[in-house]
Amino acid sequence: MLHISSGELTCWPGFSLKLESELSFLPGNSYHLVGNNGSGKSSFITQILLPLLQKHEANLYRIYVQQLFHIQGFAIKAHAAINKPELKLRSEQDCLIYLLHNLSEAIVRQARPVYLIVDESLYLPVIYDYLKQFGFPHCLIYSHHGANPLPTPDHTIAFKPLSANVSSVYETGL
Amino acid sequence: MDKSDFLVCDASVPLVTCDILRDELLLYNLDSQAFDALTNQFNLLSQKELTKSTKITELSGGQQVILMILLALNSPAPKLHYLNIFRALDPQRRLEVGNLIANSPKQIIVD
Repeated sequence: MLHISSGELTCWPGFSLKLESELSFLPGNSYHLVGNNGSGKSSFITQILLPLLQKHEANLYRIYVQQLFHIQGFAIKAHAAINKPELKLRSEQDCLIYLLHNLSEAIVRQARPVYLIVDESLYLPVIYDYLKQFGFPHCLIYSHHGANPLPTPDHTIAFKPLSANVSSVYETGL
Repeated sequence: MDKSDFLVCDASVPLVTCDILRDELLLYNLDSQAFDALTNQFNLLSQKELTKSTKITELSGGQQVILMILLALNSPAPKLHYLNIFRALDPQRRLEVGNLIANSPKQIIVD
């Protein structure tokens, strides 16, 4: 459903990503973004992937779990306090489960494909287990530095710095 | 162990300010010599040049954690308590940051 053409894409002044070939992100697939710190994974997510998902927002649901989840957690707690005051969200995991419940309720009202983007979250296995249990069609895109806690992904997308200003992005194993 | 006089640096919230590096430097009270050491170390670890005008939002999550670690290491604080610092770092950066911490004369706790 989502396609990004090959070419050089500017993320920030002085930093761009060189996509060696077209990338496609399809529901029913998982994508592991791999690369060292500063190789451009988060920039790819925030500057390229999320704006693209926003263009298709009428046709899909999207959840983005930020690498630095702390502030996002406050926003989720505020949402819960206003809409479900009987719930007491305490931990980051409570916030994520609340978010996923909210998503599943939305899907019951209107089914759409789900795009989940998880950037370096300690709770990636929790999210994965929830998705598996609920069984709705989804595209999971994640980055994770430690040993991959999930089953082998359908696709692995590598980020390799060519210089301080450009990283190469390509799907491995093709 | 009483940790009340340690400077707590939590990688879940690595930076307090949200604009340019100069703002964050004010919090850590770095002099010019310490700032030079910080930028050299950051460049070695991240292959990225820092200036006081660098927008910290343009740093990756891992780079923000590295910056927090170096700000504290180069600050006048003698006792540091790092939390969750290795989760956001790739294996090479974990090794290098671990060496920096191990070789620091400060009293440091890593949880």
